Amino acid sequence: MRWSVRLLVLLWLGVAACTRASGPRPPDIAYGKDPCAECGMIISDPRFAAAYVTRDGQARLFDDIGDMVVYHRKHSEDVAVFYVHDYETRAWIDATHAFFVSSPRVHSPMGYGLAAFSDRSRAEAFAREHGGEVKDWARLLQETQPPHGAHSHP
Amino acid sequence: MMLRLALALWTLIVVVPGDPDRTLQEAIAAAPPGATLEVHGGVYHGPFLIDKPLTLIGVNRPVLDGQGQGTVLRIRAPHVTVRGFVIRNSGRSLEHEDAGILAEGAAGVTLEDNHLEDVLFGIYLKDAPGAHIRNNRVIGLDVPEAERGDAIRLWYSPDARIEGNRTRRGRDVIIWFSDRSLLRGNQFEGGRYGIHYMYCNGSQVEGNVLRGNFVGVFVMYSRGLALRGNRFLHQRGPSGYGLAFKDSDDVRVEGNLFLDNTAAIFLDNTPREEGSPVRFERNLIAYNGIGVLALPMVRGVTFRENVFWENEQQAATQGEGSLMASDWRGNFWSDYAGFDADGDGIGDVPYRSRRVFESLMDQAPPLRLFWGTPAMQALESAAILVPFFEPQIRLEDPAPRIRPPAQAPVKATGDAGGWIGLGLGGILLAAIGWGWLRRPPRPSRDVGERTTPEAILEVRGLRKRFGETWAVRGLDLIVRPGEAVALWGPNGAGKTTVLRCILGLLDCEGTIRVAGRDVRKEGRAARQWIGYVPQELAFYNWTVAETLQFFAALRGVRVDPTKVEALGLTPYQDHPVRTLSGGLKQRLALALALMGDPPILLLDEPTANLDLTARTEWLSRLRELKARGKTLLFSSHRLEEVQGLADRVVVMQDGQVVAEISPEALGEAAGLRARLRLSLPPMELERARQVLEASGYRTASNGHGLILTVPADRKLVPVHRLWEAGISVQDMEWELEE
Repeated sequence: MRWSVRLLVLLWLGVAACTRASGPRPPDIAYGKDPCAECGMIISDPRFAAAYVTRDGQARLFDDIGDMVVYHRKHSEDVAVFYVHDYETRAWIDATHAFFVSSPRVHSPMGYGLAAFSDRSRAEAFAREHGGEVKDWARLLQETQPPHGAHSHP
Repeated sequence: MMLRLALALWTLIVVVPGDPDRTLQEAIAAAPPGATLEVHGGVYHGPFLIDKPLTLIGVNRPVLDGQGQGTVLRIRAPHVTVRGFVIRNSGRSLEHEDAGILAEGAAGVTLEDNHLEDVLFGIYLKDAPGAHIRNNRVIGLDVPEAERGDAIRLWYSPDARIEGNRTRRGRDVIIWFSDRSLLRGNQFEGGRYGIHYMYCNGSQVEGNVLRGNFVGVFVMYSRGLALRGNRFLHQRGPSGYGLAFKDSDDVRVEGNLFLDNTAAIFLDNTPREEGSPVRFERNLIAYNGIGVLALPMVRGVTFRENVFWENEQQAATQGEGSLMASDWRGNFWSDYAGFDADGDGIGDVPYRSRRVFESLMDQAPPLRLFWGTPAMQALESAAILVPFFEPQIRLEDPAPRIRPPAQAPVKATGDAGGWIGLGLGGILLAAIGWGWLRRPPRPSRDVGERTTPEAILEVRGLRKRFGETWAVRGLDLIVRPGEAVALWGPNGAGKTTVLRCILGLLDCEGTIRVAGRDVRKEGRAARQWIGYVPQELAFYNWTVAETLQFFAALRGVRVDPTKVEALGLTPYQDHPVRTLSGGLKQRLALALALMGDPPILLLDEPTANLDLTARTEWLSRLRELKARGKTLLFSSHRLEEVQGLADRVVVMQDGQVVAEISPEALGEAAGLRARLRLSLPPMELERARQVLEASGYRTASNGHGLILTVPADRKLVPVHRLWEAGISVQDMEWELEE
């Protein structure tokens, strides 16, 4: 019995080690300290914080999902994984599989109004409650623009 | 219609707490539009909603308590005025943005003289144009920064006037999508972003104080901003910018004070459009980590008539690149080492800011670890001596000013006191400037744990070596609050070195704590407690008024005319400092050291350059300060100074404490001798000499008197001898022999 427990622990450790070694992991963000790579603001709110990791292992941190999209568009780095937080659980999720609600009533740090969800039904429920539409990653990449063309206004 | 309006204007409804017939919400519901509700002191339980134009006046500061449910007071109608309330206890939901006051879809709201406490968001305007927000106080929740709401938040609310408000511990003051706002005379402290502008055009920011936030003011994606006469103080966090711009155009920054920020000014892609004016004029940028920090592609910024004063780096780029693409002509640089042979006030050689270490750091970021360490200094001096690589020129001012520009930073308080035509005073500031960089002393939460209970100043095992010579070799010293302690010893005993170590001007071994703070680890906080009066000041051509005003501007205080008067400096306001007598110079030094009212004064040989009258007067001033509770530590080798002022004497010799004695015992114990100068009538001179020589004194004549040396505690004996011989001594000066 005791041996089997030890064996299980060893196996689990082995699996854990393999998982860790197998690919990039979401970076740690020091909230209240780390600045956003795009806008330079301090990242404070995990609901909207985003990040990507490049193929050569560099992490870029963002305070707003929109800033990640805009930054990536400007710099075209070779990205291994894009991460966002699930708006409700605040867990890291792979952005390419996430569902995004774009709503003026979501007050995100840089005003893009984007909230991410790991499953479609919760995203749709949120959009029904707060207004806004649900988008996938591909659409997000294509459509995201800074929230307000301040310079085009008088 | 007119009748109704007149009726409404006449309607005054009095509301008192605990009225069984009518709650405040019921009174609001019953009131006709345009009515005034006079709400009397007491607690009213909410939340509340105002959905028609009303004026609510609090009498004796009534409390609106939201009972922790959502927003305390919601305004959904135009032209509502709320004045004189305490508004507290909102909900805690960041999700729902629970606030103290929320005005939504409500134009022309006036919120005045309210105190908001224990609220998540403070004042929140959504689609509320033309609001007046005046003289409110907002204190945020004492929760981690990530869980806080904004002290003030404007969202699509143009034409707001926000004046005289004070916020503390909020997350940000947010002005987004809101054009033409005016922010004047506010004080925003201890938050994340003092003010965060985004997508705002045509904003005015005047006379505000931004203190101890992560960032003072951050302006993003905006156009047409003017910032005048603001004070950006102590933004010292990891990205601690005083004033930052991203993607903005048409910006004027004039007459502001930037003091003690990680970086005073940060520029990212500003101007955004080529040729758009971005101008910094007549700002005072002092004692920051970096004066101007810019991203490499920033170009076309104009810097004119600014004072760059003793910033660790005057200007720098983040990443590789130079600042040469901006216009730096005509500023004052405290590290300018050029000259002005033709006397036109413009340096004859350009100012070039360069730094060796930085070019290394850009290549190898881990070197930042060495930032500010002796290793870095060593590397820098090595590179200067042996140029093994070319230092990178960061910027060039082709016409640097020899004297700081004629206009002062406009004071945040509206005080227009100018500091006109200052001279160069780098040495002065290098020697004493740090003394004024204190914020008002704040109680340290762990003073008790860190210091010997009764000590305000504690020195342990202090050692300092200059080359081969030990100036101080193992010194312990405790000074208690209100004490006057003299460091006694001959020149070279190490007294001045000890004082300079305490000030953090010299790097020493051992520990020094000022009010519990380690001078080396928390130098800035420690120095807040100290005013320093050096032995001699170098003021060059500044007048007394200019000197006072410059340091007042730097300290962010006003020159107090009563203090100037008390020190007898008023008649000399327009005199250049170098023409003053030693006594007046010393009084000016004291006036500067006392700015900010530090509890401890360090004085280095305070009467060294004074004549007898000035010495007597100076000593009585210091006694007065001691009587008012100041702690004094001074070096001296004058017996009368020590005996007239000190409670305790620490005798130093060769860098060590050799005794600690009472002032009375000093003369005797040290076996001191005094050199007397006796003024005598010329015709009695020869006879006096004979009398004294007959008594065993050796004398010398200086033409109108005699000089002789006696034991320090027997100074009057020769005077008596002469008196007995019928010779009157007209005057006597003396000093101790070393």
